[in-house]
Amino acid sequence: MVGLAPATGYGAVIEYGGTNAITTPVTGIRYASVTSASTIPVRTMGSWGIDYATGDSVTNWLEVEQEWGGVYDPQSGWVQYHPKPKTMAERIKEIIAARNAPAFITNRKALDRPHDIRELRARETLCRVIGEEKYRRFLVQGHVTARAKSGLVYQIFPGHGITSVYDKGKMVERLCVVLRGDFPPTDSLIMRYLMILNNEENFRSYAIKHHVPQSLWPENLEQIVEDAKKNSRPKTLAEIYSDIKTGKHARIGEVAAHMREAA
Amino acid sequence: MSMTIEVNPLNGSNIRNQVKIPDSLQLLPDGERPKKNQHLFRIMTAKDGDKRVVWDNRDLDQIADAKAMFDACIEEGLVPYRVDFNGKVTSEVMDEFDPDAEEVIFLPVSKKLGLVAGG
Repeated sequence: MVGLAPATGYGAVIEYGGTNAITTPVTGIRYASVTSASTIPVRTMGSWGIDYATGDSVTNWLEVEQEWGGVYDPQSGWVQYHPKPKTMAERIKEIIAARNAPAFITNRKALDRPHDIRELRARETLCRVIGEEKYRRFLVQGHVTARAKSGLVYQIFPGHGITSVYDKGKMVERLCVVLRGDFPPTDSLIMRYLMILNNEENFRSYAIKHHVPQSLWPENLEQIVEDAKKNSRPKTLAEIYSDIKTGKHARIGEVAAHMREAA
Repeated sequence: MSMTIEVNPLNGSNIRNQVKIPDSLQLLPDGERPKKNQHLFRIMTAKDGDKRVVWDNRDLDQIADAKAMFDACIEEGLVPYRVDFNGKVTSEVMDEFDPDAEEVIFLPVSKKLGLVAGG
């Protein structure tokens, strides 16, 4: 090796850019056609060393990482260094790592610790009102749900947040009721929660209704699916053949099933 | 010096109704919990957040003062909700003072105050 014996886990010491690299080629991974240390991963480098094979002094040596292999060219005496090809397992690992989501999940609706003493007191009261378990959920989710006597479920947000009304899991109304004055946000939530539980009609009499965003799915989706099931019929052999020809059906099992039905 | 609680402080108005806290009752400092025989009023105010007033249910004078304060709060338009034994507020509004109620929450939701409105 040249100048410096390689440490465990690292590769050859090579010379670059010096005259000895061309005039005294030796076999083995010793010399490289690189002219700059920046083109390959380098562990250590120096400007002077001893070639143990020939006893000559060399300049501009460097020690490369072990995973760098090389091909010796007997005509020039140079070693063409190139990265060791990655195995399939390594490549798959890299692809999976690149596609992984960040290792932490944040809930943007979670509430921060308030700085206002009034809000702290209000949250303490809320904990008393709804119980500790619901209160912990409120801190994470940012809202409280209340089932009224009518069976409707109200999703209540602090401050001037609009209250969403759900019937069997589907949003049916958005109601806005506020507590006027400089009350902390959670006090407003407590007010709505208790009004809904105590006198739902009274609460609704104050409310202003807002637009309910339409779902992307049609309202009668279930009916459409049921109708489609009723109207479906087994395909004819000609249709199956046509599908296979156009690449729509590639599964032999389905073809076989249709053939059995036809038989 | 007697303490008071401001109720119905409407934004932008000069209305400042006061509920006097009787001398025998105490304001509970932040972070403290009521003692074993102490019952509690939580009064929602915009100025100070929820004020907590405690009274001893073994002391007849304090019970009488608590009843007087309860009535004064109702007169000012606050609505009392009782906290149940399991730690949750019941959905029923209290019609009259009950010395057995461990905790009462007063909310400014009556029509008299006019603080609740559509937004």
